Amino acid sequence: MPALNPPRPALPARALLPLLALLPLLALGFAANGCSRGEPFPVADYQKTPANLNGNHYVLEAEVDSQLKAQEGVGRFISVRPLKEKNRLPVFVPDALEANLVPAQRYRFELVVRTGGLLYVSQLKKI
Amino acid sequence: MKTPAPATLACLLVLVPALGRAAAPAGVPNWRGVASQLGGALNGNNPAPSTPPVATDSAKSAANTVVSNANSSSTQSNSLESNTLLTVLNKAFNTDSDSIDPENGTMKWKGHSYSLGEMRAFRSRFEQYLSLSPSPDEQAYQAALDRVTALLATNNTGDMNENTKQAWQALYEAAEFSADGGYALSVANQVFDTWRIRNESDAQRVAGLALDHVRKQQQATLTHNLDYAQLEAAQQGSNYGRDLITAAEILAPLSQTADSASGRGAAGASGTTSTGSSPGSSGVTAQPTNRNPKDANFGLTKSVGAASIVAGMREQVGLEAQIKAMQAAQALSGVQAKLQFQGEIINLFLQRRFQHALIASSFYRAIFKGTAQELDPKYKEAIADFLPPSGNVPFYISTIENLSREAIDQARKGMAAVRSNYDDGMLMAATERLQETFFLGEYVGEITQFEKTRRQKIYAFYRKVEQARKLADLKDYEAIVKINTEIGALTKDFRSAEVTAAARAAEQGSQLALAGAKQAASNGDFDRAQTLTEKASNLWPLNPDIAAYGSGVAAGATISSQAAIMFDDAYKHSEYRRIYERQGELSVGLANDALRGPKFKEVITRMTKVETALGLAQEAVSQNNAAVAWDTLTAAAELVPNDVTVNQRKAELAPRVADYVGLADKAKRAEDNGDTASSLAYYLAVQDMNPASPLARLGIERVTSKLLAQLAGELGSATPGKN
Repeated sequence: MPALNPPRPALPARALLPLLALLPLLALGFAANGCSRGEPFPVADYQKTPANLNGNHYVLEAEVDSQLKAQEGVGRFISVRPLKEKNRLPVFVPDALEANLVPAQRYRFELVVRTGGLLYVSQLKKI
Repeated sequence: MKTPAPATLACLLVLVPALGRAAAPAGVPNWRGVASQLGGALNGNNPAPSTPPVATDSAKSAANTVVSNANSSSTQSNSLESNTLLTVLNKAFNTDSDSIDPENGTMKWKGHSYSLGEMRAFRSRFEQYLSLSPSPDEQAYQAALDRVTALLATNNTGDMNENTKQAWQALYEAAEFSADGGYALSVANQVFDTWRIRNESDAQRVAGLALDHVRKQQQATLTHNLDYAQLEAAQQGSNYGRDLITAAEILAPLSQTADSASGRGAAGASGTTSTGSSPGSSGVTAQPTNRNPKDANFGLTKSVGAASIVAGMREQVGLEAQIKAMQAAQALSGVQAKLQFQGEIINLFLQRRFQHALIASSFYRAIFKGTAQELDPKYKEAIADFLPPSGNVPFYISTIENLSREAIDQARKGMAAVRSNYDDGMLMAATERLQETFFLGEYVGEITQFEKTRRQKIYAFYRKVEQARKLADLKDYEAIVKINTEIGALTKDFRSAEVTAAARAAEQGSQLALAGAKQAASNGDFDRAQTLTEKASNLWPLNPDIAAYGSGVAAGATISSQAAIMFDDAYKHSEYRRIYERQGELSVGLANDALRGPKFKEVITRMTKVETALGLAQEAVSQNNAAVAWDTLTAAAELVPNDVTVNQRKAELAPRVADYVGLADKAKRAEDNGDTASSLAYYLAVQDMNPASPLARLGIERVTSKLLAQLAGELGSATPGKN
């Protein structure tokens, strides 16, 4: 009996070569943006001594709690509740990110711990 | 004296027109001055008792004036109102009339001021007169005086000398009455003295006649001797005949010598200028024109006795001098008697002993001849005030008689008016009439015999008025109102309504001023409070509310001083709870304290918040919300850092909120150290533990603001063109 769906012709290997050549470039680009580190933010350490984490880059997945204060052209402080954590953390989202934050939504924040323990968001992504 | 306020004057002018008199200026502090100026307000033209509307309207005006003045500013004179009231009251209580001047102690009658001596003593005499009953001897005494008057009357048909003698004897009978005061005896003595002087004068006249007879005899003898001697010399053909003089030539200068001697004697006795000798003659040293009588013996012969002739001549000179001196003394005695009698009459008249003046005048007329009835010029001045200006017209004894009769007649008419007013139930007018009549004719029979019952009733009225007047001086208005009612019940012509209204107005004015003082004191304006208190006191010194207010002020002063000490000590040591716990007494003591009052209020406000916080903390603990309780107590502790209660509660709560407190402390310290980002994380942690924490909320607010400012600065520095 004949097949109802004839098999698709296999993709030629030659066609995959350019894609494979772009993989290292993509890997380098990602690493340049920090995402390559992907280290989760140490909430407990931060709450104990925030200044000890100065200069570090972290990824924080958290739920937006509320906006604490905002200044147009500068950015806004929001409180976020890390997933699986009870206490909230204050993070600064600069206006340059042009983010639309909604309370109770979850985001993956890429952030840098700046002087004094300021959690400065460099990138964010809704999850 | 202060210038009267227009309102005060207006009040007075409202009151006075009803009396038809000019108003005295307000502000007269003494009733006597008022009495002298308004004394006539209650005379015969008193408002009739049937005209109460006038008095009522006037009283309302007075009340309104006082009230408005009490409400006026303190810059206005504060004594005018009371003076106005005093004027009203004293005018109402014034029983003096126009003729009486209490200030000077005088009474005017017919333009002449009688000095009554000290007015107080004279009033005392008037009160004594009112209080005493007429003496039973008064009628007998009056009858004795009337008998004397009748005996001396010119229409008496009896023997004048005999009548005069009987009248003189009747004077001694009248003098025995106590009411006479010895004045009848004084008149009798004057009459007696006059008669004695007249007898002496008669004796002198008789002696003068005898001397003159002797002188004439001796003159005849001397004339004969001289003529005989001249004749004998002529017969002897003597060479001396040419030098001899006649008797007439010798005797003529003798007469002149006697005249000079007597004239000098008369001048010495009278004390006046010499009379009886011409300026060219010089008394006993006067000599004949051509010959000296002492030298006459040179022309006489021894046969006619020259020595005897000379002796006779000298005796002639002596006799002539004696006769002339006796005649002068006789004339002088007559003048002195007349002057003494006239002086006695004037004195009796000026002492208001008019009946005695009449009797003495009648004696004078009987004793002295018609040409001696003119008053000596030196007495004219004494009675000139009683009469219209008359120039050089002489006054006579009859002038004094007329004045005396007029005074007596006026006293009688005055007493008729007293009785009429009394019978009409107008005791005020009766008292005024009686007073002025008494002052004029105190010794006139109609006054001394005034009925006892009428005297007593007038006296009772007089005493009450005097009492009211004293109360008016004291401004004891309650007592005035009370006695005013009693006076009003006694007489119909007393202005009770006006007096009561004036008293009530004064009380009301005082109360208003006192209320103003209390208000000013409560506002802390103590100067104005003092001014108004003085005003209230001036209006009504016996105001019982002033005394109560004074006691309250004194107690308040004590409380204030104690409260100030306690408050200062507690405030200095920030022991606000001590202040809070004694806020009751401190609120009274510091109520008027401009310095501590605001501080006290601030402390009480703060402590009220602390107490509220303590209550909330207690409630939070009971709900197992220790963090809330802690925050509440912490906020309270910032208000009162040293409060033992707050700190004790915090200490009790601290173990239960150790983590919370630890985070909060970290947050605060990080903020203080400039670690604003860390501080923000801690505050958020604190807020997670206590979502209602004001500490966290406020901390978050502060810290985020600072961070945003920093970030904005960084952004600006990074992109300068963006700002």
